[in-house]
Formats: sequence, C-alpha cells, structure tokens
Amino acid sequence: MQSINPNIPLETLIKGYFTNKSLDECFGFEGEVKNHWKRLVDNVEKFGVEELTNRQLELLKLLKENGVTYNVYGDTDGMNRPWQLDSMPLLISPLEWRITERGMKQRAFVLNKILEDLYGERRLLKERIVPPELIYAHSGFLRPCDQVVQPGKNRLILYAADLSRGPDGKVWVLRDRTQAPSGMGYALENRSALARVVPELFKDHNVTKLGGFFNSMMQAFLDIAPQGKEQPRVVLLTPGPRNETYFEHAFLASHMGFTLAQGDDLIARDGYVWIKTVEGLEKVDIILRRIDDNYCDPMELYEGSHLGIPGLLEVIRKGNVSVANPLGSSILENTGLMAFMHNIFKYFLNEDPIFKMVATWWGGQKKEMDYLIQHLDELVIKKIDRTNGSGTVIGSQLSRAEKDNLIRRIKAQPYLYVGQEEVSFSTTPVFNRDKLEPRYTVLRTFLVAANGGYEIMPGGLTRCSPEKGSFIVSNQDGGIAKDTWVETAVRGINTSLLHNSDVKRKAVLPSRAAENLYWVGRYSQRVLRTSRFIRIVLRNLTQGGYSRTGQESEATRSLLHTITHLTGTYPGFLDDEENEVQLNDRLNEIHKLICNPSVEGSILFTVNNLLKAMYAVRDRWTVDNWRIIDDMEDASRKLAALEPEGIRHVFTSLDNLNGSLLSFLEMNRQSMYRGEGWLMYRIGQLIEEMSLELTQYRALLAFQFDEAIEFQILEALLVSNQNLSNYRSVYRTYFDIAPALDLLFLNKQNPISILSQLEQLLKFIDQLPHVDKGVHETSISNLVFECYSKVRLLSIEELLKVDPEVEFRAALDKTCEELSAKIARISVSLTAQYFSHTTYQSAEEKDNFKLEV
Amino acid sequence: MRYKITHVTEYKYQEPVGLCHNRVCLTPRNNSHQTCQVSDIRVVPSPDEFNYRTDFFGNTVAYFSSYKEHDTLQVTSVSHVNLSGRQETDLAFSSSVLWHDVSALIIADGVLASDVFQYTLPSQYIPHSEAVREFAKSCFQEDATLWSACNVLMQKIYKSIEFKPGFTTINTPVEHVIRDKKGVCQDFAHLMISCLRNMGLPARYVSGYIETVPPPGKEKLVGTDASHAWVSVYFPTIGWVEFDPTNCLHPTFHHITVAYGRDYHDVAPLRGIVFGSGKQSLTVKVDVVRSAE
Repeated sequence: MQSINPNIPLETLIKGYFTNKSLDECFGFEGEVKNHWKRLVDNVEKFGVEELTNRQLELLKLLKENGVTYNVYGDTDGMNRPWQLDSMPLLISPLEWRITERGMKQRAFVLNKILEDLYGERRLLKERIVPPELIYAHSGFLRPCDQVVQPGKNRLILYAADLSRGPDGKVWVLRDRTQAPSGMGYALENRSALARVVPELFKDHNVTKLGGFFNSMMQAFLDIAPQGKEQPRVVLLTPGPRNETYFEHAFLASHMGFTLAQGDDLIARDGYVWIKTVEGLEKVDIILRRIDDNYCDPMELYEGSHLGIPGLLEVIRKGNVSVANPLGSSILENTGLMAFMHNIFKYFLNEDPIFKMVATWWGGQKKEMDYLIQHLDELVIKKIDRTNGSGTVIGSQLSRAEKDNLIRRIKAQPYLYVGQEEVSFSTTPVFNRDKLEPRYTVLRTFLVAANGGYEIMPGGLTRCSPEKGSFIVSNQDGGIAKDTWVETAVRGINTSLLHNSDVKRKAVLPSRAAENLYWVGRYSQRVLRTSRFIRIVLRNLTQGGYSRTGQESEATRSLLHTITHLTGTYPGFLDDEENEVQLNDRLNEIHKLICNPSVEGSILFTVNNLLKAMYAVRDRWTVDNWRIIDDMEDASRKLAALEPEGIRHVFTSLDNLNGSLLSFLEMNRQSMYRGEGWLMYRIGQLIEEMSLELTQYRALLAFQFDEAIEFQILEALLVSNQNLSNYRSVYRTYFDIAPALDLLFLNKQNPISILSQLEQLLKFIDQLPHVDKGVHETSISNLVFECYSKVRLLSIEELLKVDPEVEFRAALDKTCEELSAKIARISVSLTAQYFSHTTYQSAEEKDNFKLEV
Repeated sequence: MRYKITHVTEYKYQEPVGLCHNRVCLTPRNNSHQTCQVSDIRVVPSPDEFNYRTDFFGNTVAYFSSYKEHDTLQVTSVSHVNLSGRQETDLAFSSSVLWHDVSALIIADGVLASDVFQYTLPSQYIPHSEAVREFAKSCFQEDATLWSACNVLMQKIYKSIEFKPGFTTINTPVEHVIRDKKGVCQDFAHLMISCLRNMGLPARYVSGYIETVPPPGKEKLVGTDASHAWVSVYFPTIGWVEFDPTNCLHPTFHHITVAYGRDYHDVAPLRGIVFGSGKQSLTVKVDVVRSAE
C-alpha cells in the first residue's frame, strides 16, 4: 500500500457528522468515540480518505463481480441491483451482545410456543390471551395446517427479527420474520467480502466467525428429518430467478450443499415429495422454502399459485417430508400480536420480555380503535398482514382527505389495522464519498432451532438508510448493508461447515438445471456463430461488397440470405429479391439483427436468453465465471445503446462480447465438473453448432455460382467457421467446393466437421443416465447413430452433382435438410425425456344447484 | 327420517391426465339432528392413495390421488343418513336475545365460543361490503330479537332474488347478486351470510342435500336432485340455528347436512389439481331417496 496520503485526523472524516443530534452507535454526544469502537476507528483512520475511497470502490466491484444482487420487483432495469455494502461494520459490544442473545432466544422460545398453540389447542384464544379475531382475520392463519405436526422439538426452525435502538438507548424489536426469513446468506457474503477487501480493519479485533451458525442450521435440519433419517436430502425451494433474493437462494444452496429447486421441479406422489432429475425421481426429505406459505400447495392453499407443489400438505401430514419453516408460520408475522406480547410472555414464561417492542394498538378492540383514530397524527398505521402490500402509512404525513378515508376504512374493518408508535433509530457512520455520515440503522438477527433450544448468528445483517436523515431502511428501497461484528473474548474454534457426515450423498441434477445448462450450451454457440458470421458479412458490405458497382454482388446477396436463415428472422433479406436495395437499408437490417433485443433471433435477443439461462443455474458457476458473466452484461448493454448510424463501430462491442463468451467457455472447459450437467451443456453446444453449420452450408453451397463468386462465398464461410487456416494447411489449393465439403463434413481432424461432432455427440449421449429402458432412450442414441452413419457414408462426388438446368446441388441440399431435421428431433427427444415439465390446472368446479320447493 | 343419497361426479378429459390430487367433501356429518350410518366413496379408476381426515371445521374429507393415466374420473359417494328434529330451531323461536347483544353474549360464552368469532369475519366469497350492509340494514330494527331479524332478512332475500340457474357462477360476487337480483341457492346462502356478518353476527355456510318432491301425479326422475346450500346462524347459549333463504324456510326433515364452513370455498364437494393441459368437462348427478326406517 503506497498511499502517499498522510493519515488524516478523524476530524475531517466526521466533519458535519453531528448536525442532527440523534443517538449514534459509534460516537457520543460530544463527538467522542465510544470505547468499544476505538480500535475500529483507529484502523479506519490509518487508511486515510483516499485509500478508504479506493477500498470502498473495490468492495462494490467485488460484490458486483460475485453477482451479489438484490432484485427489485417490477423494475426491469433494476432486475439485478448490485448489493450496496459499506466498508465500516457495525460493532456490538460483548456485553450488549449477551443481552441481545438472551432477548432473542427468549423471544424465539415464545414465538415457537405461540405457533404450537395456534395450530394445536388454541388455548391463547380460548383463554382470550389473544382475541380470536386477531388470528382468524389474518391471512396467515392456514386452516388446512391445523394440527399438523412435524418431527423435531421446535416448530419454528428459522427466525429473524429486526432490532433498532430507540432514543433512550434501549433496543427495540421492530418486526419478526418467521416464514422464510431472508438475509443470512447476504450476511455471510458481507463478511467474506469485507475480510477480503479491507482485512486491515479486522486488526486488534476478535470477530466471531459465522460458520458455527450454519452448522447449527444443518443440525436443525437433521432434527426435523422424517423418520430420523441421517442423510436427508434437502431442497431449497425458490420462486425462481426473478425473486428479489434469488442470489441468496442460489448462494445458500451451494454453500450448504442443498439442491436448488423450483415448484415444478418437485412432485408429490406415493406419499412422498420427489425431485425430477435427469436420472428420474429422487426422494426429498426436507424443503427449505423461500416461498410464502400460502403459495406452497395449490391443492389445499392458494389455488392460483404456480410456485408450489400440489399435494405437499398431505405428504407433510404423513410425516414423509418436513418443511422449514412449517407452513402456516406467517401467522407470527401478524403485527397485531405485538399488542399482546407482554401477556403472551407472561402466559408461557411468566417473564417480561427482555426486549421492548414498538408500542402497538390493535383496532379490533373498541378502546384501542378510538385511540388509533384520535392519535392518527402520532402513529404509524399498518395492516395486520402483508397481503396486498403492507399499507404502512405515517399518520402525520396524510392529508385531511387521506385521513378521513383511512378512518373510514379502519371503522369498517377495525380488526385489520394496528397503530404503532413512530420510533426513531440510532445512527451508525456510513462512508460516503470522502467522509462518514450518520445513517439510521436496523439490525436483522437470525436464530435457528438447535440443540433443544435456539442458536443465534453472532452478528447479522445490518442495513442503513440510503439517504441521510431518511428512516426508510429496506433493500427494496435501496438500503446500504453493513457487516456486523460481535467480539468474543476467546478465539473462536474455527468451525468449518459440514463437519457432519450428512449431505454427502450424491448430488442430483434437477431436470430444470439440466435444461438450462443445455440451453447455455446452445445459446452460447448461437451467439458466437451468428455474430461471427454477421461480422464477416458486415465487413463485406462496408468494404467493397457494395460500393464498387453500386449494387451488391451475388456473393453478398447469398451471404445476406444466409444471415436470415441463421437467425430465423424471415423474411429479412429474402424479401427484396427483385427490388433495388440501398446499402443503408442493409445496414439498418443488420443493426436490427445485432442490437434490437425485441427481434426474435437477433444477437441481443439470444444474449438475453443466454443470460437468463445462466441466472437460472447460478448456483453452478464459479466466482470467476460470474466475473465474466458480468462483463458480458456490460458488453450487451453497450450493444443495446448503439444507434443505427454507428453500425460501423459495432465490431469492438461484438468482439468484447465474444471475447467474454469465449473466456466463459474456456473456463467451463477447464473447471466444470464432468457430470451430467457438463454432458447437457456439451450436448447443447454440439446440437446448436451442427444445426447452424448445416443451415449455413445449405444456404451458401447448394446453388452453383461462377467460380469467382463461389470463391468469395467459400472464403467468407471458412473465415466465419475459423476453418480457413485448416483448409489452407490441409488442401493447399485455391478455394474449391470439393475439398471444402470434405473439410466441413468428413474430415475427422477438423473438430467442427459434422462427422467429428457427431462422433462426440454419440459419446456424450451414451453417457447420459438411462432413465428407463423405454422407447425414448433407444430412440435418442439411434437418432444420433443414424445421423452419424449417414454422414460417414456420404460421398462428396454425390453431393457435388449439379442439376445444370437450375444450377442446383440437389443432393447437398437434401442431405443438409434431412440431417437438420434429425438433429431437431434429437433436441425434441432430449427435452421430452430429460427436461419434461408438468403443467397442472385446477379441476373444474361447477355448481349443480337447481330450484327446490 | 332415513335417506339414501347417491352423488356421482364425473370428469372427462380431452387429453389423458397423468396425475391428479383431489379433496372430496361428500361425507354427511354427524350432529344433534343427524346420524350418518353408512358412507362410502368410490373412485374409478381406483386411486393409488386414498384416506380420510377431519378438517378444521370438523368435516370429514377424503383425499385421493391417481398416478395412472386416465381420461375420465368418476367419484361416487353413497350415504345413508337418519334425520331427527332440529331442536335449536325451536329454542331460537322462543329466544328473546336481541341481535345487537349477540357479540357481548358470545364473549360471555367464554372458552367454547372462541371459534365462533371467525364466522363474523369476511372470507373468500364473503367480503366486507357497504352495499350488502345497506341491503341488510332495514331487517335489523334496533329492538329486534335475533330470531325475528334473521327471519325478516331471509324473507327479504327470498322476495328480492329470483332463483335462476346458469346466471351466476361460483365467482359471482354477492354485490352483483344484489344488483342483478338473480342467483342459485349458493348465492342466496352467501348473500344471507354476508348480510349477517356485515351486521357483526356470526353465520356459516352449510352444504348438503335437499329431498325434492315431484309434482303431483308425476314419478320422481333419477338424477334430478341436487346439492343444496343454506345458512346457519349462531345463537348465544343455544347454538347454531339453520335458515334456508332459497326456499324461505327452516330446514327440517328434508335437509341433509354434509359440511359446515365459512363459505363455499371451505366445503366445495370436489376440488383437485390435474396434471395436464387439455380441456375438461364435468357432470354431476345426485339422488336423494327416502328409504324405509
């Protein structure tokens, strides 16, 4: 580190920090650094502003390259919003952490009791500790889950709560997250990014490692395994790549060794849940769900859901699958419960809650409703559940008319509303540009049921408001995350994950992942090959194919037609056979075929599909691959921004795109695990490559032209196939169609000759798992073999035969056509056998009510 | 009174279906005025899994699934039921409870009544509605007893709504039924429940059968009976009292109860998920036959 900047004194770093006098985690009211922050502030000072700025940028770059994102629903541009992480962590003193741990464990214990009671005896309601309407009116109380019990001591497996510090210095519980709490993966990623980019910050600190918590989580899953299975198969059920925390789903799945799956990868039958893999159905024991509970089983819960598994609840009732968290646990996220927590704590524990809760008034009681309405200006009004949006409004910010409207709604259904005290949070320093700024801060803590009780993650996910002075602290609104440090007196035992012998079972390749890998293979080949070809034709157009004679040559026209065939963008260049076409029209069409993502078959269109397929299997790429994928996204953004007039500058962007893509392919070649996933990916590549080649050969070579024209065509073809030097070294002649056909179809030394590729395809297809010895399996390898033997027996002389009347090589044309059709059938059969998705619908309902007297 | 009920549901699929999961709610309940002596559910083709359980509302539901490819699915439920008088109706008739005292009295009912509260709240087919409240208001005079208010309401619904099959579907909102003044028994029941709940009273949905009596001199035709639906209102200290707004009467020996729920959604006779994308068609036949004691 050769920073010539002198160490700057703290004063410049915190200039203007104390303009609004809120309670701060790091600084006292006189601007003094609190005791347990001193070592950290020292370490920060040592960096100096310039270096700190560099590290902050480096941190964000690393996270972006690692693909750490938080998706924002309904925002196409923000689809993958990079994760914002501040280099300053939040420090929690050992003393305070001890209280936090006790408070959170106490709360987890009570929430677990509530869950048990509400789906069991309901004593809380019978004895009116909790008013029955509060539970019965909440959409999270799922009647089909009544009396359902899973193995294990605790019902609530994973629990998260948001904490903040009020002006009096006491810690508050803001909200509970109990059905599919998110954030623990981000917390882990924050820690490793910080440790990598600013290791100097850790100096003189003994930060407790997070690994132990994930071990406890593994233990928690073993505890709920059906029939006490010792090696349960755990599946992480995700709504898919469009979900806001999809990054975390993939990250956790690969960190924990779980299989990432979507609803239609799973199926309930024979009393079990199964995952569809390329080897057939595999039994699933535990589902870690990141789907709202109401969406998990369209058969008994929300019928309109396409994210769940029809029949899941029945399998849970049989005790053959366990779900974390159990279905129905969103009832605990009922904000109205906050109003009754004191009594509930008393009821179950005979203790007061260690943590204060936000003062809450539930409208379902007359007195409280009146209070709500009278004190609207001082309260935050919320719905008791989060369906149709949380509907959170701050009373004092409403207009008169809005207030009246709200009061009318509260009076109509008072039991749906709560009023909560407005709380102010404490601030922590966030590094912004060249100084520290105070930002309101919320800490999400995580607990997991283990060892008969609950274990807490030593740390958590700290989030700060994106704007100075703003109270909005959420990822949806673009918050800033912080790593969270809890110090231990003794150096922690370095627990590495998965020391248990569990989940050492064979990994499976879910059908969806197989399908996406297949398409990653196909699309990457399609992007490479079509862009190379278009590039060559574009060169041809801009460098003479046109200008000399003022109209395009037959060779150029033939090449343009081939582009249309390759991209499938009919009629395209085939349309204006007779018309005089201007060069500019050609260039505009080419621009469209490269840069317009809404044209099906265009390069950007294919790139977008490729990226989608990559995202769908994001748990399978290495960090290095993510860096390349990130580059590809940048390159494709540049292409999308290119105006038609700038088409001549397209070459650089295309080269960048292809360069990244080639590194991606090379990275896979070097490091991708040679399992079924690899087979699918390679098969996809081969199938795409051959179909595109056959399309090219048919379009370019079937018609006979004058020697000069054929020369141009062959040159373009061989250059685009990167076969030019092969041709020259092997045949050492002028371009001629006979040796070219030999090279392209039959030459076994040429890795992209049709014959070589079919040979490889045969090899790969034979390695695929044979699901059942049924019709499919034989027909796929038979189809490939038919192609192979057909090519093997090709006679070049035969292919060269020209019908002089029409100057057409009918045999060549027919051969290409037949092979293409067979290869398309191979793809169809693969899809049917290995990727098959099921579609389901609700059985029709019909009333049968007639007049009765 | 003894009845034999045969309820046949048949699905025909345009394209074969590989897998289906179903929930059947066709087993008559046992309660103070009814015993279900025999109940049997047959599924063709015979299912791979089949079991019974008791749901949240105390109804018997069957769950079955089939993994064999099939293009028709037939579910036949046959039950024998003995009916006796509904005493709650007589008790309610002489009850002096005022309708606006009901909430307070339920709270006083204590432990037993805690689940009654859910029947005062909106549910899937019965939302909170100002329009429904407006429609109902006139039936709830300040000093009216619960019994008289319920009867006035039942009459108002019976008089204002025309029974017209085929005009509404399961998803027709109650407010449209008020607007268009047409519907089937399910709409009558949903409307009455909705009126009661919007006045703060607990009411639930009853699914079942009703015996049809052929016109004089005509023989009863097989398969012309139907599922029926009516309403049950909670009377503090007495219990659930039934009203049939479609026919404007108090159910007696002709109404056979299958299930209770908050609305149709909780007690739909047959609900399922089929794996397949083709079209489906459905026919239902019901026979209610009085049998020898």
